[in-house]
Amino acid sequence: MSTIELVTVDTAAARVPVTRGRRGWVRLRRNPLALGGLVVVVVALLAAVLAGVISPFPADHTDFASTLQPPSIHHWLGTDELGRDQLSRVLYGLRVSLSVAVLAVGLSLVVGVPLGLLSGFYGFLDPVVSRFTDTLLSFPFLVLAVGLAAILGPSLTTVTVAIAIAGVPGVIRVSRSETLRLRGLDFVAAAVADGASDVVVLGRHILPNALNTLIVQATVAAPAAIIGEAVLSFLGVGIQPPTPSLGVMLSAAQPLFRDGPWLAVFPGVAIVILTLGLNLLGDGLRDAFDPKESPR
Amino acid sequence: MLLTVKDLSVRFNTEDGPVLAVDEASFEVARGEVLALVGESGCGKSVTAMALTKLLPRNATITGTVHFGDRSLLPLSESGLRDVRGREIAYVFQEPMTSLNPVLTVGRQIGEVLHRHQKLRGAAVQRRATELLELVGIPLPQRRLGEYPHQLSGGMRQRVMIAMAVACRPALLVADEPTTALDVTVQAGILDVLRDLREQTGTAVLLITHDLGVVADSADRVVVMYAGRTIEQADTEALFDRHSHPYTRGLLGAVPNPARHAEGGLREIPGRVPTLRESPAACTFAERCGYADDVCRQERPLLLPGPANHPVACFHPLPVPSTVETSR
Amino acid sequence: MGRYLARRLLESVITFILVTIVVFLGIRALPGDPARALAGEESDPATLAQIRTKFGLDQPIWLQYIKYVNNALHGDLGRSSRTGLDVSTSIRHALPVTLQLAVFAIAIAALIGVLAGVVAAVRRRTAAEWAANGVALLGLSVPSFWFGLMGILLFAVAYPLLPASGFVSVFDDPVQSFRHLLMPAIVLGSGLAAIIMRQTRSAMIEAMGTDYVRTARAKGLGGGQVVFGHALRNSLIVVTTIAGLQLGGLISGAVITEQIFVLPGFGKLTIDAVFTRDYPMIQGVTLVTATAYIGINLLVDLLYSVIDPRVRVGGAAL
Repeated sequence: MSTIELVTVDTAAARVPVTRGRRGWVRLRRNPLALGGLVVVVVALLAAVLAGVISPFPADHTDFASTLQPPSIHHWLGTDELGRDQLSRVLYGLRVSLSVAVLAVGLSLVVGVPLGLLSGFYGFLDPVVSRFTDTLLSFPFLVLAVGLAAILGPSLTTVTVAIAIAGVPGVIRVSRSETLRLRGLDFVAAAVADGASDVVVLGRHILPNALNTLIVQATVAAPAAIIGEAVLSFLGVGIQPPTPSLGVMLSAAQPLFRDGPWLAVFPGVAIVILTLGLNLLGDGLRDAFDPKESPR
Repeated sequence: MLLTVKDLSVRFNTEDGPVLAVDEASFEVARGEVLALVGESGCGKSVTAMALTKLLPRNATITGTVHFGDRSLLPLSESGLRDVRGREIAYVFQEPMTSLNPVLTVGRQIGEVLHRHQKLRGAAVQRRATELLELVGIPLPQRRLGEYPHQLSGGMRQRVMIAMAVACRPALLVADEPTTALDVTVQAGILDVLRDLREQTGTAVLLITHDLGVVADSADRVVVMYAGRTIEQADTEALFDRHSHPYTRGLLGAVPNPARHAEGGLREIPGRVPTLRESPAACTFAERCGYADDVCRQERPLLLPGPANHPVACFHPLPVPSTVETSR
Repeated sequence: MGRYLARRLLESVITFILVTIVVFLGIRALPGDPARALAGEESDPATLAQIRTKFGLDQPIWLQYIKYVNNALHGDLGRSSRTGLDVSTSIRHALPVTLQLAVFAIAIAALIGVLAGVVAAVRRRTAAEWAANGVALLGLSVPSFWFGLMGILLFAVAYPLLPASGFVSVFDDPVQSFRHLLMPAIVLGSGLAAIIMRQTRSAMIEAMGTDYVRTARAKGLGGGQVVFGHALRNSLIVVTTIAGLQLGGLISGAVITEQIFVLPGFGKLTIDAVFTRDYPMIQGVTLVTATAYIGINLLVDLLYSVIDPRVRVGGAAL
């Protein structure tokens, strides 16, 4: 014979949500690599925003007297076949890459987080959303992007949308698993017992606590977005010349290997530094907020 | 004397600073005897056991001496210690589910130790492994060899652990809380296995436990530890009837016994076991002790013969009772 | 376990059906006359009429879909509007190239990744670990196509050691095949190697701290046996399943790699199809890719249930 147990939830005490967040920020500050990554990202952001101010030349300023110049005092990163200063173009290219990354990641968060929250909260929605994400995942990124470009025509918008779509499954998965985890905790039970509506529970209780993990996911998705934009532009499917994008610059550099090898080096280095910084930051954030991580 | 431990200390260098887990512990184990090492959780008994063959993580510093047979163990190199582990000193741990590798068969895991120390191979391994499983009382031993740990019950897994430990006929078996993770009914079976083994092979056992019932049932002698220090050593019977240290009295008083506790309820020892950074020049039990005075708080008591004629580390050991009220 | 697999199979089938619907509708979603899209921009009215009949473009859409799926299951994916050849034939010729590249890439990635991961886990806080971590980080941060470009710059243009392009089948000439595929395979596998390395490292670190490793040490087993016989054994289970799930990414990666190194593989076929608006080919290629992806995921799940004895042999006799 089984007896029904009354489980008492101390609603007052349980109202304080899990604060592994605060401890995480402290741990992050102690990690030199992650801080280095943060510095790199901040510098890159500043450079991109201030590109107009700090570039020695406008991005499309041609100078047929000094075409294909290797790096020199006048042109720190050299010039291309139209005499355009590479340093300036890399800076403007950074701006383009970062805007795409921010927009794309933002878009995938806007679409993915609600879907993940809902599918984690309402069991009957779960299989529907899962089939949706599976279908999305079955189309490898490039095929999806290239197909999208075929329909919409290649442009910055197309690239942003394509990258956003590619990032949605990851965001859904993370927000769904966070929702499932948080749903079982006492403070949610307390809120429900207090009579909170579903919307309030999701918005005021679950979402803020899932924020940390979502931020980590964003820093993981950002480098992928930057590389994605570069790849698409490289293939000619994304941003079109003469708009300076790091990917476009690399594709233009390929036929000029013998005459101007530096043209292929610097845009790539810029991408590597930026993604390295984001990856270090993302790693640091993940290590700092992962509850399983034991002190070294 | 098989095992002599003298002034064994273990320090851990953690992120938050050094932690002193074992503080000059000393005790001896004779051939064929069962010595129980008792104390609350966190008193350092497991660390002591692991320190004997330096089975501790890299941030541990071990000082003192450990004499086993005719050798001193601590100065040995890692490869020298590997020869001792499993062959002369063997271990049985508390959690049989996690202590066995889940993706290797039982036969494979027993075979490992046979191969390592006795160079057995193939059919010889099968035969010996089956023998060992029979020895520890596992039915259908041949079938078990091909099974995985998750297919066995908790009690059977622990028997497998014991079989692995005694495979090479070690002189000393260190059993770290072997029954704690098991059901009460299964516990008795495991203790029987240990007892039978001792009778058949003369293996000495260092039995680590916080369960005084196990001590009463299986141990010849007992060493009580508190906050990393060995504070009392006696024959089992003497410990129960003529204990000298106030902590021991507290331990015994905390054992649930309907007869004794019907009126007053369980008696807890107030306070908690301290975590130490340095070895204080004082008695570590003073804060929780009802008999403590200034001497106790200013000097460290040494392990010396007490009123009941066995070593105790206390400035005010309890008197030997004239009439004895036992709690077995 | 059987029930789990049956459910996975059902899910895969549903996903596959959804994919075919998306692929099918995708073409129809394009502006303009689908017949023209399917036959090629400059076709004459006769061809257009033929296409209309063949694909049943005058009939209700769900009938068209059935027809399309029926054709596909019989291996008929239409005719390329660019080359005029059968889509399925072109795919059949291109796949082996990509498969050889992919297998080579996976082999390199697995070898380097696992070794680096083990080193990083066992030699913690030494120079070796920092080096291994650094390499993995670079592998994740360096865009593979740029990596490929630099490779060509160094090993084909500056110091001509390896060919910059072209494909030789391993069945025709192993040595030349190796020379032609080495750089592409490294480029393609670098991302996967980095992921495998990190997964191996974290799984190994966890494994080295377990009770059963403690037992293994207590039995007197030496370092090598403990690391490889116990810790790595357990770690590989997790690593293979995670790595397996990344294989789909290889399909994308192959597109870029084949473009840069001019390998006539499946990826190049895809890109060429898109750039020339070869819709039958786009459809066929997408379908095959998605099928491969779903198939790989299903296989990885199956694999997991086979190599982990806890799942394979079932519960305890408690």
